[in-house]
Amino acid sequence: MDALSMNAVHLTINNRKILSNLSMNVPQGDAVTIMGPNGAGKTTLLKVALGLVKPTSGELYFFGKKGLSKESQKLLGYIPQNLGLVNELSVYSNVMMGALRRMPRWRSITGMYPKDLVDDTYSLMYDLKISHLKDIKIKKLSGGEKQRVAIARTLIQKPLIILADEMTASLDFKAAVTVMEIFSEIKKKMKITLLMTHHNPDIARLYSDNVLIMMNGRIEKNIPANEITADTIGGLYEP
Amino acid sequence: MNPSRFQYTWIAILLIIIGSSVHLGFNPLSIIDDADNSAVILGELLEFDFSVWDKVLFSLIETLEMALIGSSIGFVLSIPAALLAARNISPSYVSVIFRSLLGLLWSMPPLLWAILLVVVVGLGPTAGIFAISLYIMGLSGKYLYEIYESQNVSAYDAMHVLGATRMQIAKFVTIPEALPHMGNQYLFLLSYSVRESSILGLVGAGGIGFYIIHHLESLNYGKAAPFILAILAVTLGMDYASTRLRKRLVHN
Repeated sequence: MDALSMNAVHLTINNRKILSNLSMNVPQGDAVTIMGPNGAGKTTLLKVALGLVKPTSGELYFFGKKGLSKESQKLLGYIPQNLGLVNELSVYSNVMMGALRRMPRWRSITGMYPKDLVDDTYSLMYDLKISHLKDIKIKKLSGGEKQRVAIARTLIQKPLIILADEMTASLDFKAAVTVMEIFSEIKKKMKITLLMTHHNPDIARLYSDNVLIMMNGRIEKNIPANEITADTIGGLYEP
Repeated sequence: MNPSRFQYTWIAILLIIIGSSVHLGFNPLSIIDDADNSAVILGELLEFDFSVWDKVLFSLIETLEMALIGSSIGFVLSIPAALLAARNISPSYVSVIFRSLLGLLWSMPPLLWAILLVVVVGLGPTAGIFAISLYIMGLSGKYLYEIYESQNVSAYDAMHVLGATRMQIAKFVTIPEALPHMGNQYLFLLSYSVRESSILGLVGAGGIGFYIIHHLESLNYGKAAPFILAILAVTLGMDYASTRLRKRLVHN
């Protein structure tokens, strides 16, 4: 079964076609990478899937069910470009923020978090090797540490699908691999489907099952990740 | 903008300034023509009469208290008002209402608010405190909603995907991200309020301004001088202290 699929999705903003007859599918449990030049529509595609941008036309399916219902929204985790962390809050608060759907509103406002969520938060921070940073503000962390906080914040939701937008863009290759290793291990353990965008063919090959090549608002190719090299996608980034 | 258009703009501005001066009968040389008068007044001001020191101290403390209470009330009220005015947090109709309210509070100077409030609550510092509070609420609110609206969009996107309510977004993103600016802003507003409080006495709304206007109108320039000197010293002192504290806040 596909965790996520899109059928003939169009999006036009100010007479400009952002997504054009876009169709794609992400099989459950797989890791799929979208690659393509800047402006191809990768971020917009993710935002459409998340319900942040409404498509002009087309259909979305989550686990075979049509449309983005409140129930299917609960299954989605999102790691935005720039991570979307709150710089002035601690690592603990940022991770706990991810669990908003798992607690009554009054608890989130008063800060009286349920014990099971507190335990989950500590456990995830331990798995992602950020426990020692618990009380440190985000603005004082390195790029790699921030990535791990963003992952923890997403995982505490217990999502079935994670959409990650250029998650490792600000990291060097070694740091990106470290983050992706930890993430992949947890992904397998929690049986999560992953749809991510980035520009690095080595990361795509190592950590995805398939790579979708996107250009001019549509998916042009679907390539098995083990066939991806800098040469096979070289043409993508040439003017 | 090409150079000729740029030059035309400046020429137009210059012509408007000259036209306005002619319209008002403003003559910059009059300060020199009346130099004798100025010298006499300045001479009398410099004959400081410190027999009024107890009143200087009392009115100075009153002015500082008015500024502290007024700016604190205005600042605290501006935080939720700015949340309701920010377009990225509130529904558009709520945002329009609160933007207009803050605009109204901010567009009237504290002295005008004080004139109105003296009529409502009577003479004395209470009118002054209300005047400062209302103006600071408008000024601070306007500044804050602009800060809220310029915050990191991706943090808001992440919160929307998490299904966060407006109140949760305000608690987890908007307020925490604005906190360093708020500390900075509060110190600036406090020092600004001290300056404003010092003139509210002119209309009977409390503070040191009452004594300054009283002695100036009685032509007791020597007695007015210690009050002017005191307000000058406190304003400069507050400015210096708040600049240093703000630098420390930014550094942290």
